[in-house]
Amino acid sequence: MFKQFLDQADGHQGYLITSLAIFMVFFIMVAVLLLVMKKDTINYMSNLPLEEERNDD
Amino acid sequence: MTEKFYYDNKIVRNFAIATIVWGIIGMTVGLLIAMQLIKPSMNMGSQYTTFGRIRPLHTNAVIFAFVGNAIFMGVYYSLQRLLKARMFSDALSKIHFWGWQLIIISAVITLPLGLTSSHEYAELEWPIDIAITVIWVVFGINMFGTIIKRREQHMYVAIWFYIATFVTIAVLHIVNSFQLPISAFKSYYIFSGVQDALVQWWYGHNAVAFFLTTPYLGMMYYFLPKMANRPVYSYKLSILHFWSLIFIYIWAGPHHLLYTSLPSWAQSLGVVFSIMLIAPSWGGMINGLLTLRGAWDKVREDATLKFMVVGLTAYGMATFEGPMLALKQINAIAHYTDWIVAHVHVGALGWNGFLTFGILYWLIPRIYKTELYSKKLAAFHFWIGTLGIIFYAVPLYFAGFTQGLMWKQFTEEGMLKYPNFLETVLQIIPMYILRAIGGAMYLTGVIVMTYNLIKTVNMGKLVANEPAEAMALPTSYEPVGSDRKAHRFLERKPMIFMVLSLIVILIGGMIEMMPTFTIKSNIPTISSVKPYSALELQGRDLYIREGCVNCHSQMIRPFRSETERYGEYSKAGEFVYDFPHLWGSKRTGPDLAREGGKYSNAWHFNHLLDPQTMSPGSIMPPYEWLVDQQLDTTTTRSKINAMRTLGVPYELGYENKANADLDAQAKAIAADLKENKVEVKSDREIIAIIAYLQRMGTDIKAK
Repeated sequence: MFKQFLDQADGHQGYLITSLAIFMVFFIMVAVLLLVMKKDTINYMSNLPLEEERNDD
Repeated sequence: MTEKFYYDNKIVRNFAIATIVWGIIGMTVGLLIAMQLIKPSMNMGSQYTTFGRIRPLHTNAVIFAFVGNAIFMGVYYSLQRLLKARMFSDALSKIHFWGWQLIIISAVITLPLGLTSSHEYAELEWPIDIAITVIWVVFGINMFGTIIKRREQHMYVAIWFYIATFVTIAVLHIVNSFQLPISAFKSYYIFSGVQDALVQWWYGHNAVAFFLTTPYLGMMYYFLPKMANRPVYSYKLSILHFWSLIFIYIWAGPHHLLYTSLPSWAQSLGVVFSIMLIAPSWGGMINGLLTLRGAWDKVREDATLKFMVVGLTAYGMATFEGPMLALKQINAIAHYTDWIVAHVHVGALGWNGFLTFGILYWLIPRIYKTELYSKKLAAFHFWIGTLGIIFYAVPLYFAGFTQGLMWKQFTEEGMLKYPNFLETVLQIIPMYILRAIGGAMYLTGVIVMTYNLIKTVNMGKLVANEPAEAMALPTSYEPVGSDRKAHRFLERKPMIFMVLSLIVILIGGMIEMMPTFTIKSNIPTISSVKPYSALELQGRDLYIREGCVNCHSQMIRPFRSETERYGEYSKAGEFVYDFPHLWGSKRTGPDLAREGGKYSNAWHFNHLLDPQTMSPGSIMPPYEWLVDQQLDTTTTRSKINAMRTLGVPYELGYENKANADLDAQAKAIAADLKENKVEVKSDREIIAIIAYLQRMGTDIKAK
């Protein structure tokens, strides 16, 4: 199936490869960012919507 | 220092009313057009209620009025609370609300009048496009103003989705509205043919992404944790799928144009990214469903959560199906059939509709400080709505497979098994009846909800200004001194964020579109393709006015089943003078790309006047008014001039003799009709539309 994509690209494989490469780089950047995020921050952030409820109590 | 402030609930309430009112109107129009597909008499013999004109009314009403107002309701409620701040400006909130409603009303007026640009899901003409831009900017200022004056340092992921929505819709709307106006309510897109199609579907696909998906994901990330009273399953996953989603979505547009004249490298790019899209989409769905881990007992009792669960499941189904439909092999069968209609309604009725209902049931009692009037009625709404979706979608899937396969079936002798297109339509009428029943059930549920919510509202009293308190951000009150820098940086953060998302969404658009626009070899010219005559051009604009494109494609794909049925497959170079392209996306009737010369003028005349006389059983509505109405030739000159500005090589001075040329061609057609015992004046609209139909695809037609 993947060969088919490349064949259909009509000699414009460069576009495909470049586009996928750009995405990979971007994805890895986001993943790295997530890995270095502190657990505290994550906990704090995910509790943001629930905060006011706590205020009410 | 703790500050006291008030959340604005009134604006939330107003948007809630608007989403309900427009929802009922939009869905009722939907039900009407569903019935028109069963019985043409449901078109009611009026041009203002005929399918071609009110189908865009249905799509615009449910997308921009029902879903649009629901987005603003959800954003205005959650944004204030997540940022611990009242909306930036009450005046802007009001302008936003009333401006948006006025835009919708102008759509309700102009679309039935036939004032349309013909770009799917962007049919509104240029003055309304400008109004949309202004109001969208008002919304943006109000949102960013609130973000800047916030009392919560961190921006929760829901707000990221809102920012991405704002930025991308702005870019999509502006680029897809590059038009050259020729009068108060008529304009031409500045791109033609292949390029216009690429812009249209880059817009169309991403309107689904950034109007129907990202704002709803943002709302899901706020309201679902609230309803279940537990934090989202994985915050990291929400970040990862946010960035992947907005990056990938923007590339997937060309999957709407598979096997068309779009350069094949662009098609391949669209397919690859469409398949990748399943990952971030399911990331969102899984994150939502897993948020309910350990809370499933609540789902059993609480209709609100039931709506959310089915909504998320529908999102999962639609986003699995989307990539599958983007596979060329599947697309070959599904494209142009009711399969696509079923697919979008799983998304619209399931994901957008059910999330909206869930949020309404949760939010209205809260801002009215009361309880929901009847949980039983809400449960009833849930069940009739779910059954409605099933009754809507399943028959249409069946209709889609059936018709798609019938179009492609050959006899052993190598002839089309169903050469008569109408035969494949009649086969699926029972499915259309079931679909209308499903739609009616869904609408019934919405009406029950409206009753339930009115009763709820009557039991309580609106807390228009809900008191709240929070610590001020420390830096916001240090306008001078060393903190200043930090404060500025904080203020800039949402802007930096906006710019980042802008860059992310621009990458895909640029790589896909730039080559098609700049490299000539992508659209090989064909020397025999000539500009339309003045009469054909006028006829083409009537074709646009009547919305023929809603049921007839003009794009023959390179399959034997299509070339046998319609003729030579369509080439990119054939569309260079088509402002805008009219490729269409659905074949309720046959493709018309090579209609020219297939039938006599008299056949077209009788067929337009009463399709059933020429094709017994046809579901096409009659177009009697084309015979009564005189063609407006005062616009010919400006149309020719506009075309020349856009690059159509009309000879110099043609605009001066265009109407004489138009007259001559019209008289010839009228004379031919007379020979065939059809008496009609040559200045009627029907003559122009026949001229256009007879021209279609003839430039490179093999004799």
